[in-house]
Amino acid sequence: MSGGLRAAWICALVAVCNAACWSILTYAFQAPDEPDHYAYVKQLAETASLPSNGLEQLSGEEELALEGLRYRDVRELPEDPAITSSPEARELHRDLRLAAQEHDTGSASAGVAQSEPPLYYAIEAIPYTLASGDSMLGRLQLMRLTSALLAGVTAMFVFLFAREALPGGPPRVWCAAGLAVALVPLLGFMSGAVNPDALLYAVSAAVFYFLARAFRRGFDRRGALTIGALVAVGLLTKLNFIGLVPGVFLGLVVLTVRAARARGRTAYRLLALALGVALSPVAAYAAVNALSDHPPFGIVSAAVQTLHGSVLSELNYIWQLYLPHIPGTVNDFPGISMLREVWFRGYVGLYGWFDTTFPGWVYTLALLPATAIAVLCARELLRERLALRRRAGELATYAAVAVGLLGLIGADSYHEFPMFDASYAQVRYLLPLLALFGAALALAVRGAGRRFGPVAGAALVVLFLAHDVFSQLLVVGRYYG
Amino acid sequence: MRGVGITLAVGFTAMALAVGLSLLRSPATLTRTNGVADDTQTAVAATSESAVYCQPNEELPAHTSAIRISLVASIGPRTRLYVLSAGHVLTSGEQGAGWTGSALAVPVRQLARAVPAATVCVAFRLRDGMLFLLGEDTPPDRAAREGRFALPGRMRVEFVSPGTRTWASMIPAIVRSIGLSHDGDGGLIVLVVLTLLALLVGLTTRLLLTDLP
Repeated sequence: MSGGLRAAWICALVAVCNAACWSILTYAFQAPDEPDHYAYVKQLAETASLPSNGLEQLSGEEELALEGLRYRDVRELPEDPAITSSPEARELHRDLRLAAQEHDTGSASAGVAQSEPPLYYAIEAIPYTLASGDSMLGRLQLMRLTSALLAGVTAMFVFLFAREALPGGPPRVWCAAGLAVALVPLLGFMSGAVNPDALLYAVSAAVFYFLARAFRRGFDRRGALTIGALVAVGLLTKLNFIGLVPGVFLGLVVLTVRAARARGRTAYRLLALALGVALSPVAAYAAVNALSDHPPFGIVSAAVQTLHGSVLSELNYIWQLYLPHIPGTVNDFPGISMLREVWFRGYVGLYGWFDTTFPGWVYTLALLPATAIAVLCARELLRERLALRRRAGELATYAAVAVGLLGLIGADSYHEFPMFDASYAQVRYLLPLLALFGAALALAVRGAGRRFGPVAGAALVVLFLAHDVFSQLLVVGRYYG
Repeated sequence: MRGVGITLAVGFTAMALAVGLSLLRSPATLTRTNGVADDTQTAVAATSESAVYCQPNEELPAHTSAIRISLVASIGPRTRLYVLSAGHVLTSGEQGAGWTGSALAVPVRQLARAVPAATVCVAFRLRDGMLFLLGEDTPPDRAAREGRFALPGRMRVEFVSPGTRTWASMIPAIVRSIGLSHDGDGGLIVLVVLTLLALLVGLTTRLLLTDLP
């Protein structure tokens, strides 16, 4: 095994171990929407059909287990820990026994998960079925561990992306990026839960890698097929992937135009191949919906039809969701720095049902290393500005992917504004961009220079490890303390 | 290689020290609540504008380090909390914007003595979005107030102070709780987690020492 591949595997293993720890330490069903995702898997595994409604009426089995776990008492109430006494444990065991005796098959309702595509749930149906003789907690744990494996895929592709996107190396920058991303607490937390985000992160990281590979090594039939297939997988994983699609298509067009210079019109066949494979699940989905008299693109069609406000207002809102408001425009978030108080704070520490946080000073302290990383990254970008100019098409692709996702999150949030300020301003929705985050970290390590680079790389990884360990301790203290 | 080794040694030592120091600290514990049940809470106020809600007849325990109010917001505004007695502010605190969830804990300056008849006020500036104050319905004379107007009920208020037990002394109880929550042997589960962490640290160190120099 080559050194690079060995390092990629180690990054993957570190991410799997990390997510496995999170899967054990996060109290059952205390991750965003986990009861709904579990219900979807139950329906798919037991009836081979999709949930039919988005109501919060879970199956009797799941409701009993949630009651035994004191789910609603614990959720969003940091003062309420998990089960701490023997009587509570006895009650849980009784409820789990009763749950096992429930003979309701499937779960027609899957809450917010109902509108999601089925791929991730089909994968989770395997551990669900394998652990069918176990208690519901055992089944959930095995499903969470399956998600944890996907964290490994994510970290591996982030490493490989850094290697392709920063081919000049040195190898330490790829290792530091891969390891740091493997240790991102939010990746561990989300991939340690039953949630399609785990697969979305993995697919998105793979898309970035294969795009970078095509930009560096050339666009061929294999690359076109792989990128097309990954887009199809992404679309079958979670609706949020739609945000990435325009950027990926832009990348395919740029790659095709380049390839056409050398190979003529045959390059356009590659584009058609990639688009055909990518859009095949969408076409199939639209056809099924059209035949059954439903909106062709399901919830997406409904969302587009219920847009409110002017386009300018929406653009202004989306801008302010991430960046400071421009003077002269309406301020949709007065008194709040969204970048610092929502996004940065959410990245540093916001676990469970968004109810588990560090003390306030931690978020202020975290600004120091974050600023140092940003400065080093900017320094390297400035130093490499000529090389960046030569790769404008590639960078525009990555930027378009990022902007597409940010725009989608913003548009979804605007849909519920002003009743809710920013319903989807959650950092977990940004983790499909982990590959870009990894590349930024790699740039920061390279920005430290040849002399201090190794030390900066080690310091960066230790920083991420410390963040991860203390985040896990925070969760342990919150649920079991 | 030497620089990386030293960085790792310093980093891991600092981390071990920080974990040790954290274990010697005491977690905040709930000292008392104002009796408003947390499982039957209803919205006693809902607003999309700046507001100040005050609630009389609260008993502030001595050494209260934080006061938790049942507020719900998707992105909470900057919130100021103050405790009044006989028209004077005895203690106060502030929580920056960006909080979320259904309970907001605002750190306040500790007082050495208890205050038997205090008024707890919570103030925030809001322009868009909704903020809900949770509690239970009560007669107007016991209710929280917005200016001169009585709200339909009292908000739930909880008083938090530093506990007497350290995190270190609570480890056996935490291990037990992990076991109870997982329907298994807490010791074994913690051992699995520690093994995974050791593997993670070992792999990370190995890669850093072999590939970073």
